[in-house]
Amino acid sequence: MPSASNSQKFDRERQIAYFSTCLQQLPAPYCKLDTNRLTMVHFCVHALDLLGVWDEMEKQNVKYSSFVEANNIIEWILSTLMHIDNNDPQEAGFIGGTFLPPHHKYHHSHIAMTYTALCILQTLGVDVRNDPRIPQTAIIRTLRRLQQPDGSFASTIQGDGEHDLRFLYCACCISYLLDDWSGIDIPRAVSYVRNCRSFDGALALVPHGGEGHGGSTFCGVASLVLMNQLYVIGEDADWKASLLHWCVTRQQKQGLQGRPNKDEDTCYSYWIGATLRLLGYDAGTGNEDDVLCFLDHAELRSFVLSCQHPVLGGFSKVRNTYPDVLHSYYSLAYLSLSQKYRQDTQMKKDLEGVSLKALNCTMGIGQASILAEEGFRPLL
Amino acid sequence: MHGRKREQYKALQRDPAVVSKLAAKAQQWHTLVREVLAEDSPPQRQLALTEKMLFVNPDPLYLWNIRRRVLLSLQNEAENDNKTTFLSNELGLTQAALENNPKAYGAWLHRKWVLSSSVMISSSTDDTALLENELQLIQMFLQKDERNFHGWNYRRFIVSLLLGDHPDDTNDNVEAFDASQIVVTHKRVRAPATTDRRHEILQAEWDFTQQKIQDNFSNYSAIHYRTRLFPWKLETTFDVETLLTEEWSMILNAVFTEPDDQTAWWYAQYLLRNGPRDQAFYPHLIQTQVIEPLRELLLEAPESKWVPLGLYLLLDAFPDPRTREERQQCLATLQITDADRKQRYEYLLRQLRAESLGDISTM
Repeated sequence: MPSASNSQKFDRERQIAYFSTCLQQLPAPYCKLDTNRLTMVHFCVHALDLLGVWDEMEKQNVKYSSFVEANNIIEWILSTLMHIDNNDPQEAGFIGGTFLPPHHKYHHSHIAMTYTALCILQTLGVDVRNDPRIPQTAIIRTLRRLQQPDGSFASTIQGDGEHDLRFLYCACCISYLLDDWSGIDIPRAVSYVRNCRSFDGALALVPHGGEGHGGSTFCGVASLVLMNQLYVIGEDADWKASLLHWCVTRQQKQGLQGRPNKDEDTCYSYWIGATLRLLGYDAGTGNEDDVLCFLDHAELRSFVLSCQHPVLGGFSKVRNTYPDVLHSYYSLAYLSLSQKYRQDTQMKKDLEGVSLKALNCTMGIGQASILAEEGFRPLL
Repeated sequence: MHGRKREQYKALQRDPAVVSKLAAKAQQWHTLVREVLAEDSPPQRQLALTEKMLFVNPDPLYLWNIRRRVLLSLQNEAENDNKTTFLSNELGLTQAALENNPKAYGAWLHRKWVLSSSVMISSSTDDTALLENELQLIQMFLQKDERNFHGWNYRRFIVSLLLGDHPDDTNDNVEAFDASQIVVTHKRVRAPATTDRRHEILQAEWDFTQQKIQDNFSNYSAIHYRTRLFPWKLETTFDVETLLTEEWSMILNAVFTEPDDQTAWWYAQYLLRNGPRDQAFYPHLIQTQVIEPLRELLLEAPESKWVPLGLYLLLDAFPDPRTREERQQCLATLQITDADRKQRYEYLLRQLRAESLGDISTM
C-alpha cells in the first residue's frame, strides 16, 4: 500500500499556476525546444483544459494570466501555418514556432507541429474541419507526400529526418481531426506497425530490430485504433496476450518504466496506461474488458503525485527533481485516465475531490474537444 | 526536456554572475543562428558555423539539416578525393556531439547519413575497415550506457551495411536486417556479403551479445538483439541440442541468481516459442532442464513473483489439460504474493476456466 509520506495531495491551483507560467515563459534549458515551441503550447493548453480552466473562463468569466487567452494563442498558431493557399498543393502544415521570418528558404512544416496545432485549435474552439483559415485539403495532400514506401511517415517533405512510429501517429491524428484518410495508405501503414513488433509483443520506434518501448507502443496501438485496424492485434491471440503482459509488467514497485529494467518515469503512466485501455476495448462489439485494472493504480497514483513539485507545481520525470512540461502534462493525463478505472475508492481521496476532465486516450487530449455530435467518430 | 542540466537551472535562479554570463552566451548563440539562417549566407561559412555550434550544442535538428543541405549542394562539385575530408570532418563532429549527448537524435541521424553516403560513393573493401571502426565506437557508447537504443539501432544499421542488405528493397516478405531510418538520396551500391562473410559478421554479433549478457544478464537490450540473431543462429548451427541446452542453462542461471529480474523470463518465453519445437529432444529438454528445476525453485523462493508467473507462462505456452491445475495453483499463489495485481490474475484464471470449458464442449 502507498505510504502517506510519499504521496502529496493534488494541488489544482498550483498546477494551473505552473502551466499558465509556462505559457508565458520557459526557463533557459528549454531553448533547445524553440523549434518545437508548438508542442510546449500543446501541453500547456491541454493541461489547462483537463484542469477545467478554459471552461471556467468561458462559463464563469474567471480570468487567469493574460497569456491564458484563447484568441491570442489561436492567432499565434495560425501565424505558423506554412501555406494557406488551398489551390497550391506544394506543402501545407505548421511550423514549430516563429523563429524564422516568413518565406525563408529553410521554412518547412513538420508533421508533429501540424498535429499539435490542429489539436490546440480544436480544443480552443476552432472547427478545424471547416475553418477557411486552415488548408485542410493541402494538409492531407502533404501527408501523402510524407509517407514512405515502407509505410512510415517522414516529418518534413525534405524527408531527411527520421521516420518512425511517432510520425505515423501524428499522421493518423491529423487525418482523424480533419476526417480525411486519403493522405494515408492504410495497408502500408499497418504493415509498418506490424514490422515494429518486437519479440516480446511491444512495439519499437523503428521496424526490423528496434527494442520495444512504451512511447512507441502507444503510438502504434493508437495509430491502429485511429485507422480502425486494431483487429490486427486483437485477432492475434499471441500478440495481444504478450503485449498485455508486457504492458502490465512495466510496473515494478510503484511507477511505470518505459522498457524492462529501466527507471520508473511518470510519462509512462500515460503511454502504458492509455495503451492498456485501448487494448481492452473491443471496438467491434463495444465491449470493454477492464484491463486497465491490471495496473495497481493506487501505487501508480502515489508515484505520480510524489513527483508533483510542491512549490512550482507541474510534475517531474522522477522524484525529487524539477518538473518539465512534457512530464507534467502526461502525469495529468494519467490522473485523468485513472478516473476511468472503475473500482477505485482511493481516487477521490488522492485527488482531493478534484475531478479532471475526461481524457480521450487515443488522441491524448480532452474528450470534450472531439465530440461525436460534432461529427467525430467516437474514440476512447 | 528530460531532466538534464538541473544544476544549470538552479544556478540561474540564484547567482547574478551566472545569469549575466548565460545571457551573454544566449546573445552569442542568437547572433550565430541569425548568420547561419541568413538567406545570403555562403555555404562554406554555414559549414564553419554549424560545426562550431553543434560542437557546443548537438541538439538542434535544424543545424544538422542545414549542414546536410550544404554538403549535398557542394557534393555535386566535389571529387571522390574529397571523400576522405568529408568523412573525417563529419565523423569527427558527430563523435564529439555524441560524447556530449549520447542521445542526440540529430547527431545519430547525421552519422547514419554520412555512412550511407560514403559507402555509396564506392563499394570498395576500404569501407569494411570504416564500418568495423564504427562497431568499435558503438562498443564504447554501449559501455557507457548499455541500454542506449540509439547505439543499438546504429549498430544494427552498420551491420546491415556490412551485410549489404538493401533496405530500399524491403517489402513485407523480405526482412532486411535493419531498415535504415533515413531516406538516402542515392541507392546503395554495396554488394551483398558472401555467405561465409555473412556468417562471420553475424557470429561476431552473436558473440557481442554474449559478452554484454555476461557483463550483465539484466541487459534487456542485449537479450533483445540476441532474439533478432537467434533464427540465423538456429539455422546455421549443426549441434542444435547443445545450442539450446546452453541457452536454457544461461536462463536458469540468471533466474536462480535473481528470480525477480524479468529479463531472463522474457528470453525464456521467446526461446520456448522459437526454439526447434519440431525436434524430438526439445520438449524433453524443456521438461527436464527447465520446468522441473523451476518447480523446485518455486519451493525455494515462495515470495518471488516471477517464478510462479514465469512457470505459469511456460506451461501455458502449450496448453495441456494435465498442467491446468498446476497453472491454476501458480495464479492462486500470485493473487497472494502479488495482491496489488489481483485482477490481472483473476482475468487469467477466467481464461483457464474457459479453456477447460472448451475441452468439455469438444468432448
